[in-house]
This record gives sequence, structure tokens and C-alpha cells, in this order.
Amino acid sequence: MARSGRSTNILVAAAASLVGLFVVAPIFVVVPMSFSSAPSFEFPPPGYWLGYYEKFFTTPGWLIPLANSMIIGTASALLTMLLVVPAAFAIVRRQFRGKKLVRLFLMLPLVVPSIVMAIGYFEFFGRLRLNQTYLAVILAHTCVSIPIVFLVVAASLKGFDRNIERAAISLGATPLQTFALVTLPVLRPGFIVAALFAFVHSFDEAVIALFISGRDAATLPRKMFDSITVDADPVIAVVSTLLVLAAVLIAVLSRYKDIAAALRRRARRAA
Amino acid sequence: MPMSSEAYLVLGNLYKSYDGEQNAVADVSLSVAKGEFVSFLGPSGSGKTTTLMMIAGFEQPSAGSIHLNGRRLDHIASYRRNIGIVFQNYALFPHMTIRRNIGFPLRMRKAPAGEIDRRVGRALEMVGLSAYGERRPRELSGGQQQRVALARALVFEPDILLLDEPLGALDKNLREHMQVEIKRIHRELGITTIYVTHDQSEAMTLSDRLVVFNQGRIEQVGDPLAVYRRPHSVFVAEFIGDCNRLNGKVRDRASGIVELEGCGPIRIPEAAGWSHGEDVQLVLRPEFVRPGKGGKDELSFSLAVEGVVHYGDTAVVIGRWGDKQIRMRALSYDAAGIEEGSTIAARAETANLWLLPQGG
Amino acid sequence: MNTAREIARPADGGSGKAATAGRLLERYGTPLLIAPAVLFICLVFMVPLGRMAWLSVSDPTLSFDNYAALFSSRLYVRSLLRTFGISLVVTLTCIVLAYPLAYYAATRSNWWSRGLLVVAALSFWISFIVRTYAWLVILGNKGPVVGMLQTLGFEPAPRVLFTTTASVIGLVHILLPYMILALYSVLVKIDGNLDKAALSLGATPVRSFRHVTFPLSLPGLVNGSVLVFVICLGFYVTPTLLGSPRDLMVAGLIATEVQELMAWGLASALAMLLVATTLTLMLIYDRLVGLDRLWG
Repeated sequence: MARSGRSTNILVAAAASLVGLFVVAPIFVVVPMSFSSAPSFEFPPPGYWLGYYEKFFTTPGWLIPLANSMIIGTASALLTMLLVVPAAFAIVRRQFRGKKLVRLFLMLPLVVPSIVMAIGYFEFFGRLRLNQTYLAVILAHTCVSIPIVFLVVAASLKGFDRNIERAAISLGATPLQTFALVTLPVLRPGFIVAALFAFVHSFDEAVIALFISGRDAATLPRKMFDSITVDADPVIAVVSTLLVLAAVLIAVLSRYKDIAAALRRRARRAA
Repeated sequence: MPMSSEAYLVLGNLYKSYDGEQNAVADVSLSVAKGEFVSFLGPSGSGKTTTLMMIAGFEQPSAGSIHLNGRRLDHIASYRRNIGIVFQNYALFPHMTIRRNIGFPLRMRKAPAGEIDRRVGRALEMVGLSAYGERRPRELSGGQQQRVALARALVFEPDILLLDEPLGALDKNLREHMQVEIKRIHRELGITTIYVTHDQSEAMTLSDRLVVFNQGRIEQVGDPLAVYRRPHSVFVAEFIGDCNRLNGKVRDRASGIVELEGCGPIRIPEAAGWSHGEDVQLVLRPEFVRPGKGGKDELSFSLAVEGVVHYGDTAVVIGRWGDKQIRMRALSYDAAGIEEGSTIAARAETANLWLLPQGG
Repeated sequence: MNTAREIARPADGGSGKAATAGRLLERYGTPLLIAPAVLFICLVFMVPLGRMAWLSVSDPTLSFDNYAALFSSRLYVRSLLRTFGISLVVTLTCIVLAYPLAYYAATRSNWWSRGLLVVAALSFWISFIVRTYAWLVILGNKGPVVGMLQTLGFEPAPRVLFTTTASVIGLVHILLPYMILALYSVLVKIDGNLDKAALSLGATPVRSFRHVTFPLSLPGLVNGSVLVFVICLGFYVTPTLLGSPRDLMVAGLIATEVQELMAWGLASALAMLLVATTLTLMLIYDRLVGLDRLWG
């Protein structure tokens, strides 16, 4: 979209870049902080060392919440997918009365702010004596993940070309074979993305975890929150840096297929 | 073309309604011989694709029956019908290589691995894509994907081949090339084929027989040239080819005189089959109008030329006969001297004239 | 390829059992497929919410006292108003900041604009606690902002952290990606030829933007604003960590009621109020635009 007016061009680019800088600023703070030698919020750091990295990897107080978050994230992602996928199939592919209502129903958790759910669960699981258990956190996280995971799965299904299913049937595959050999494999990438969404949503979830995860099932965000308010050392910066690294890694890996395909094509051309 | 004249595929009074009120397909009956190439031709929504889908088993008829080789087909599940289908958007399995795509129906039939390899190889050869076996569909062009779809639909030797507007997404040159390919494959294999299209020239070039659909019903069935020359209704006359239509009344059936509104009386043998005083339409195709004075067995009239449009190889002369507009299509060579504003003599052989009831 | 059949045909004949099973799946399949998710939401979402609604009118007595207390007490009313005000400021700031970046990324396709978009998208995946911590450091007493203010001559250094301003900065930073993405997804679909057409008809770039591009981008603007505003209303972590403990937003108030005062009735009433507000906003949005637009 070429435009006349180079000055407006430059202005827009400059403004966009400034905003981009604003967005990315935390990373330039958090990463150096993780190498800081001072047990405080001092920035720029007075000195650099790896001591706090060592501390993170050797403190059970941090490692256990990390493990908890992994477990809870995975379990919640699985449960969410198990609930959402069949429902999405029904809503996208079938006609039935009340379809709109069911869709709305599944979207409801989006309308309620986390703090409200947090105290609600605190009371609810408290009565059931389930507070501070894995089960409670998994159930709660699943519930709040359902809307967004449903959106991703439904989008995946909507973009699916049903003609390939008809083709498979015309070629002799029973409905079951069609589902297993054609439908699922083609949907798999979309489902993996959806499951990843659910995992990250649970992994990063702080408010509900603050109220109901307690000490036994403490999640990483909860530990981070406590660390900010109680500790002063930059171990939290270490965790943050590692999390940023993980996010970047996931982004790169998700492009892996495209990168691998491009490399293959180049190799073939050279051959 | 060697083919049995026995009915191989029989559609018996097929009806299909989605809402219980309107019929998407109404009273469709057809008999297709083994090895025949039949085209379903019609505008969008005419019921041709719905009928095809009923043959394929993806739609259930509301009423009527389908028989294949004497056996009832519409009671059989779609995955047991042994029919090859080519879709407009190819519908290749994106997560499989070309070889595995083509081998899919053979794996469904539990053919031994060596057998599968052999047949897939032959199928690839047949469509000229032997070097592409290990590629994925997204790496192939549209035309190549369509050829793979064809190979996949034929590799298991189905009883019938169904094609649903397979060339719609391709550009003109590629389309013409693929038409030749499809015709060649049909000749080689002798497989009964049903081809759905809205492109009448495509249907004309490919088919042994044309079935013209309109609003869920079959308007006419026949050899392409017969349908072209002798359309049974105005719809068919206008859908296939171009035509001039002139209203008139039968004055004298014995001598074949028809009085045309605004143009005067003409002599046409066809009038003998009509009753005196009946309202008729004259159907005159532009390519049958030629410049020059008419002789015996020819209709003569004078055309006041209003415009000439040149297409390179042909030209269309637009003019008036009386107060009616007439289009004449001639080779550029023959239309060379014709100018706007002039009046020329025009003629048409009465054998090329055709009458239809008015309002039909 | 047309002699004796070497491969088996799929078995002929209509199937009795398989067909009936198929028909059963057709009839009862839908309820079976949606039941798990629906039941789950009923049990794990509606029930806790319902309990809270009940508590709001039953603790300590069966009455609407809690709601009355909310509206009569200056503390609560001010908190509610403050929350609305902050959310509004955050939303407007997000619009102003997000637009240039979204516009640039949507209308140019050089590697710089794509990089900016990647950066914006990536920050989505970075936990907001991480981002909140970063602002704690940046705005803290020993951080670069205070340091810069000191070198500029402000002694004693003004407190930046634990103020409402710090809250706003943190919230803007966290919610900006939502606005950027909402704007981008609409801007990128605008036909690039429209701008060219406007220019060819004599409009300056600025007027083309004002009369053509901007109006067409409004759906994205509204989408993003609704999203940001609603999330901001109920935000807990960032205002609690960055904001002033005396000027709490509603979420902080609810937490305090529960954690420190064990005033379940009041907290529930506040919570219900928050839900009602969010619900109303969404309903208004639905009436005006249609909720389907929000989640595409």
C-alpha cells in the first residue's frame, strides 16, 4: 500500500516503534535483573552473577511450584480438550434447537472476572474440603479455559473442508475409518494449538491459584506473587527470564514445520 | 463408441426436498448406458449437483429410486457404493503424500501392498504425474491436484465416475487441456461417467448425451447436437448457445406460413406440425443467419445494421428486421464489408429454423 | 486395467445393525456430545456463582443489607467510581498507543512491521506477573525512572510506585496487546485499494485516513475497547502489586473483604455487582453489534 507523503510514513513508523519499545521494555529489565548480584529491586543492577539462577534450581520452594504448575497445566489442558472437542463437533456440524444458547453457555466463564471466580471457588471448594488440592485447581482452571479453547477448536473445525471426508467415504472408508484416518489427523495441528492455549492459560493463571492453591498445590504464579510481596531477591527475575525464553521457544517451534518444509524444498532444488 | 445399450444406471422418479415444501429435485428419471459419458447441465440451483450427490450417497432421495446394474443403489451406504468422485476443490487428503492419497481406496479394500504399489504407479502414469508421488497436495498446482483427484477416483476401478464441476477452479487454457485429458481417459477406460457443469460449451464437447436441468427438473435429454438444434423449450434454447426469438402466429399450416410480429409472413416447413392460429416463437441461431439474398428453401429478409462487434475470428452483426432486433454471427471474412447504418440482405436456411410455443 | 478383478469390492448390501447404530448416533449423538461440557459448567461454574449470589443476600441476615451498604458507604462508591475511571483511562490510552502500531503492521509488510507485530503477539504469552514485576522494578525507588527524575533535579524523589498512576501504566502495558490485535485484525482486512482510490480522487493522506480508513476500523476499535474495559474492571494482581493500598480497585476490595475481614456477604455482593456490570456491558455490545463479532 504505497502512499504519497513520506513524512506521514516516517511519523507512523516512529510512533509504532515507540509503542513497540514500550511493549518490549520489560524484557530489557527482567533479563538483566536475573543476573543481578543484589538482593533488591535495584536497577540497573550493581553487579552480575549467576547466583540467583543457582538458587532457583536448588530451592524446593521454587521447584515444587514449578512442578505443580506443570502437572496442573497438563491435566487441565487434557480435561478441557476432552470436554470441549465433542461439544465443538456438535455445535459446528449439527443442527439442533438451542444451539445458540449452548454456545453462549460455554462462553459464560469469560464474562466473570477472575477475582469473582477466585472467591467463589474459595468458598465452594472450602465447603467441599477440597481447597489446597490439585483437583480443585485443575477443575477451576479447566472451567475458565473452556471458552477460549472452544473458540480455537471451533475455528479449526469451521475451516475444515468436509469434502475430504466425503472423498474418503466415496473411496470406501467407513465413517469410523474416515474419522480416524482423515478427520483427526487433519485437525491435529489445530487441536495441539488449542491444548497449548489451555496449558498456558492454566500455567499463567494467578488470581484463582492465589486463593485456592494453598501451600500443597501452590502454583508458580502464586509463588511468584508471594515472592514479590515477601522476598526481595531477584529469583523472580530468573523465573521471568526462563518463562520468556519458553514463550519464545514455543513460538519458534510452532513455526518449525514451516521452517523444515522450506529447508526441504531448498534441498530438493539443489539436488 | 462401443457401449451396451442396456440401462446401467437408472434414476427412477427422484425427488429431493430439504424443507418439505420446495423440491430441490423433482421427478428426475434417467437411464444411462454402460460406458456412456453423460453431462448434467444447468444453472446454479437447478438440481444437477443434488442429483449427483444422491447417486453418490451423500444425499438421501425423498422419493424415487436409483439402480446400478440391476441392483438397488440408494439403500446401500455411501462407503459401499464403489463409485469414484472428483470434487471441484479436489478434496485431496492434505496430510498424505500423493501416493498415499491414490492408494487410500486400495488400502480400504485391503489390497496387498505390492498390488497397491503397482496400481498407484499405473494411475500416476495415466495422469502423467509419476515424478510427484512423494509430494504433498499443497505443493502441487491446481491442475496437478485435479489430476491426482482423478487418478485416486479411478485406481480402484469403480462402477461409475462422477465429476462435480471439476474444472471450475482452473483457468481457460488449463481447463481446455483437462477436458481433453478427461475425454481421453474416458475413452481408454470405457467407464460410465456423469459430469456436472454449468458451462454449456464444456458439456457439448465432452458428452455422449446432455441432460439439461432447470429448477430441479430435467428439461431435455439428448445428443448434444440434437439438443442444440432442436431445443424443447425456450430455457434450453437460451441456455445452450445464443438465439434470436421472434413471436408469431401460424397463418396457414398447410403451406407453412407463419406471420411474425413486426416482420411479416415467412414460410417454414415446421409450421405443419402446429395448429392454425397458434402462437409460436421462431428460434433462429445467429450463426445460421448469413449475408446475401436468400434462395430456394431459405428465408430472406433485410437487416438494418445498427452495429458490428469484432471478435477476431468471428463478428456479430446487430441489426433490425422490421422492428425486431436480430443478431447475426459470421466469420470475420464474411462480415468484412458490413457497415453500421447500411441495410443488407440476410438469409437463413429454413431447415435451420425451429419453432417453440410462445411462453414456453 | 480392466480384466479380472484383483481386488476385493467393499461388501455389498445395506447393513442392518450398522445402519441402526448410525441412526441412533444421529438421534442421540448431539446431547451426548455436549452433555459433558454443559454439565461441567453447571457444576463447576454455575454452582459456585450461585452460592455467591445466595451469600450476598443471606450473610449475615436474609436481606439486601449488603447491597444497601455498598451504595450508601462512601468507601465502596468511591472505589467503584475509581475503578470505572481507571478502566476508562486505560482503555483510551490503549487506543492511542495501539493504533499506530496496528496501523503500521497492517499496512506495511516489511520486516520491521512484521517484527513489531511478532513482539506484540509474543507479549501475550508472557505471564502478566512477569510484566507486573518488571514495572515494579522500573518504577521502584531504586529503578531507572526514579533515578532519572533524581538526576533531573527532583529532590526528594517523588514516589511513582504504589500510586494509581503506576497501576494505570501496568494495566495499559498488559492490556495493550489485546487492543493491538483487535485493531490489527480489522485493519488488515481493509482493502488496500480504498486508500489508493481516495488519494486518486484528491484526498490528502490524512483525509483519506479520517474519512476512509478510520471509520472502517471502528469495529476493531470497539471490539478492543470492550475487551480491555471489561478485563480492566475486574483486574486484581497488577493494581494490588503496583497500586496504592488506600485507593483500591473493586477487585482489591473484594479480596480484602474476604481475606482480612471474612465479610462474605459484602464481598459476594461486590462480586455480584461486578458480574452484573460486565454482563450489562456485554449485553449492550451484543444489542449494538452482536456478540459473535467479539469472538469472530
